[in-house]
Amino acid sequence: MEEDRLADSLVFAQSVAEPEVFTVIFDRYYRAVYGYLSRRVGRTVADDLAAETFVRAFERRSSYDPRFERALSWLLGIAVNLLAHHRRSEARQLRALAASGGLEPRESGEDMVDRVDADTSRRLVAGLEQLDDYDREALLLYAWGELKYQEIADVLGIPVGTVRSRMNRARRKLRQALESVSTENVVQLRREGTHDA
Amino acid sequence: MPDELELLKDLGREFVEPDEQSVARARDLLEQRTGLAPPRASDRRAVPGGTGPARVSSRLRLRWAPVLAAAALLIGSALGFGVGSAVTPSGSAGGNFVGFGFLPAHGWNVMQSGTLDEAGEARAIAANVPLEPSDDFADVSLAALRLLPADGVLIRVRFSPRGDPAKDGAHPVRELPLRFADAERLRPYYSVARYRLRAGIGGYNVEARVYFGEDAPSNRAVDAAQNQLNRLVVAADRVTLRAQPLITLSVVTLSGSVDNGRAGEDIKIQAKDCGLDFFRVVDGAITERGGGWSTFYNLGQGPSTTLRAVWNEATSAEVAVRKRAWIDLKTLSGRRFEVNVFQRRAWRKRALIQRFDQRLGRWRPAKSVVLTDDDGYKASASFTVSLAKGTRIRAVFPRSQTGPCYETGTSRTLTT
Repeated sequence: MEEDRLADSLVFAQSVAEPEVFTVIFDRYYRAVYGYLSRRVGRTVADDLAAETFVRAFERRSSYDPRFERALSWLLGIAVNLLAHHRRSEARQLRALAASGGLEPRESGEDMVDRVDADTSRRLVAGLEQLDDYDREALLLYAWGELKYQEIADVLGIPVGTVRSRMNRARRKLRQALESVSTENVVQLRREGTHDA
Repeated sequence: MPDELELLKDLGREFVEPDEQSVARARDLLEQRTGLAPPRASDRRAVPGGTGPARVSSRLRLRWAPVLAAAALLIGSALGFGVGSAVTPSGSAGGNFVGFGFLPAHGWNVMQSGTLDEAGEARAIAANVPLEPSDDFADVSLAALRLLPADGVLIRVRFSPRGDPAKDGAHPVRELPLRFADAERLRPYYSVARYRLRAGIGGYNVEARVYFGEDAPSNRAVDAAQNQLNRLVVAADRVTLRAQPLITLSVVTLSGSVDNGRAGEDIKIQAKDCGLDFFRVVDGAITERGGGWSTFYNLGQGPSTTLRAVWNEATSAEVAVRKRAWIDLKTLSGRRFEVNVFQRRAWRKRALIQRFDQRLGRWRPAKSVVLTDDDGYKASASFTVSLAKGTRIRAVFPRSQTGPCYETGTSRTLTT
C-alpha cells in the first residue's frame, strides 16, 4: 500500500509538468470511479459524471493532496460533489436497484442468490432511503467505493470518529430494514422538488 | 441473516463494469477538454497567433469511435438516403427512408453513420475542408481543429433517442432548420471558436458542435455554418427505444419517446429471446409529458434478447441486449472454494479459475473446474487450489462455455 501511495503521488507530481502522464491515473481508476457512480445514478449519468470527474481531477492535479492514501479517494471526493446535482437520477437508480433482484428466494441461507433476491433488494433500498444523507454517503463510500474509514474521513472532511458513528448508525438502520416485514414494493422519494443541475 | 454490508456490496453489482464504449468516450472527453492528445509530428503547423509560417489548409485528421467502423459510412456527397419520413428543413414528405445527417452540398465534405449504431446513437461530421476517410475514428480532437483555416467550418452532430428526462431537459424542443443564433458559445480552444446547439427534434436529442478556424468567426463563415445546418436531417420515428447498458448481468434501463409528445400513452415492450423467432410482450410503460418514457427490464436468468417498443401501430427500431453469464465464487475454507453459475444448461460446462499475477499485472489461468452439480437454479462445483496466501483469484465463464446466447461472465475477486 505504501508503494501504491507513492506511485499515485508521483504520477500527480509528474503530470503537472508532463500532462500526458495523467492518463495513468485514468487507466488505473476509471473503472472504480465509474462503478461507484453507476450504482449511485445509473449508467447513463455515470458515463458523464465519471468522465467529468477525471477532467476536473486533471484541472486540479497540481493541488492533489498526498495525504490521500490512494488517488481513488481523492477522485471519489470529486465524484461525490458532482453527485450533489443529480438527486433525481439517484432516486431513479434506487428504483432500478430495488428491481434488480432477479433470482427466486431459496431456503438455504448462504448463497449469493439468496442474498440478492428480489425481496432483499427492495428492503436494502428501502433501508438506504431511510438514511440521513450524511450517513448514506459514508456507508456507500465504504460498501461501493471500497474506501477505508480514514479515506472516507478525508473525502468528507470529517474526523474518523464521526465516520465510525455514521457507519454504526447506518448499519443499524439497514439491519432493521432487512429484518422488518415490509409490504412496500416501490421506493418513495424522500426529497421532493429537487432538480438536477 | 447475512451481514448487511455484504448484502449491500452485492446490490447492484451488475452496474459496476463500464463497457468499452464508456471508457473510450471518457478518454476522448478527457483528451478534448484537456488537450492531452498532442498533434502528431506530421500535422504540426505554426502555433496560432505566433510568428511562424502562415497556417495552411490541411486535411483534418479525425478520430472516430471504433463502434462506428461497423456502421454505414457515407462520404462526400453520396449520402444514400432520401427525404422521405425524415424530418427535413423543407418539411417535404414522401418515401420511406429514415436517416441522420446532412444533405449533400457543393464544397462540403461529410462523414456520417446515417443510421443508429448498436448504442442507439448516430453521428455526422461536415466540414468545408477536406476530410481523411482513412483515419481511425473518435470524436474530433481539438488538436486537429487547430488546423482549421481562417474561414474553415466544421460541424459535428450526435443524435440519440429522447426519453431520459435528465438529458431531454437540456435539449429544448425545436423545429428544423436549427438556427445558429440559438447556439451557446463555449470556451474557445486557442483560436478555435466553439459553439454548441442542442435540440429535441422528433424523438431524438440532437447536439451540434460548430467549430470555426478563428475565435471571432466572420459573417461569411457564420453564414456557411447556417447554410449547412439548414441541410441537417433527423429521422422521424414515431416511437423510439434506447437500452442501457447493452451488455448486462440482469437489469437494463429502457427509455424512448413518442412523436405526439403526449403523456399517458401506452407503450408495450416486446422481447425476442436468443434462440427464439418470435416477440412476446414483457413489460410496458406510460409516457410522461413531452412523450418520453422509461422503465427497467430484468432479464433474470434468461439469455440475450432483442427488444423493441410498440405504440399503437408503430414499432421502434430493435435493440439487441446481451446477457452476461452470472458466475459467483465463494470461499468454503482456507484453500477450498465453490463456483456457481446461474444460467440455464450450465451443467458439465467448465469454469476457469484465474489468479492475478502481481509481477505481470494481469490475470493468468490457475485451473479449470467442471460444473458437476445442478439444482435447477445453478450449476456448481467445489475445488481446491494451492496458491500463496494473499493471492487474488476469480472465476470466469467464457463464451466458449456459455454458448452463443450469453456473454462471458466474471465473478468477484477473492483473496486466498
